[in-house]
Amino acid sequence: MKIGKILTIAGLVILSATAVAGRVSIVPVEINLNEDGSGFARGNMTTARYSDNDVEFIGCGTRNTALGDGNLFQFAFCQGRDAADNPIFCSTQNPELVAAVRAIADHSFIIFTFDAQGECTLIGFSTQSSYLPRGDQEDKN
Amino acid sequence: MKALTILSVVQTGLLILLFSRSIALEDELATRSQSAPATTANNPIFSPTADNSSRQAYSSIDEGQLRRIIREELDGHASNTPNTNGQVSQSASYDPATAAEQQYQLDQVSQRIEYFSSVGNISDMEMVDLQMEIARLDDAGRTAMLRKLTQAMNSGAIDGRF
Repeated sequence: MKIGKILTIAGLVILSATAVAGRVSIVPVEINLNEDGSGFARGNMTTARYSDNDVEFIGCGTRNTALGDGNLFQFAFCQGRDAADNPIFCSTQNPELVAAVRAIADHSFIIFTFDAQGECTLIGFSTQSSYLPRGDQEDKN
Repeated sequence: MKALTILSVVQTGLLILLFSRSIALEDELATRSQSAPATTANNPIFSPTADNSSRQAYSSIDEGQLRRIIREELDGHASNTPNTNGQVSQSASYDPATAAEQQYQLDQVSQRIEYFSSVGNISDMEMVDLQMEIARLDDAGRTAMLRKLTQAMNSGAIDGRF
């Protein structure tokens, strides 16, 4: 019986190991600035979330405010911070970019560019299996 | 008795006179409404040199002019009502505060951003309040203040997040 239990546990360990196979893409947050203040930032949300520092993050969002007269003020933003604690932000009222931000899914790879005024000029994302968290990555918070 | 008779005759005469005068005025109005529409050059309203009383000017508005004015008013009202899909154009229905009030609000928001820059950080709730203030500005103000806030955060002057 004891041998049986050991074999069972060993089998489960082997099976669980195969469950975390597959390509994993690690893309830490990267911020690239030009002299005029424009630039780009990119990174994988999962990589940032499970990095070994407590400052790195990247993401985008929208804000929608009802003006009370039937109109809506909405804008999108992207923000991030690299491992060196350098922040980056951009915002835009472009309705097409706002719509693009709404389509960003969890665990996405995000890239955004901005001009010298902090206006987002490009917002892109990619949802791939390689960006998903590994089985051994748990939210310890 | 004789005095009463005289008074009743006079009263009857006045009534007949008023009645005939009102008939004459109605005929005159009917004649004016059937005439061709007056041009602006001939219209006493638009003629600065015409020596007409205001009563004459108002009586010169014929039916055609009235119809045109009413049609223009209705067209103007229709442009301010929602279209068939329920959306209302911001330029037609949004009525921003006066220019002076807008400038005041813009200055207030700008000062708020500068305050947070001096403090060095902004909390999440303060960010929400600030975004509500930005939302109340006009289009140009929102763009300007949103950029100002973004630049302040990018420069590190304000430690916070959207």
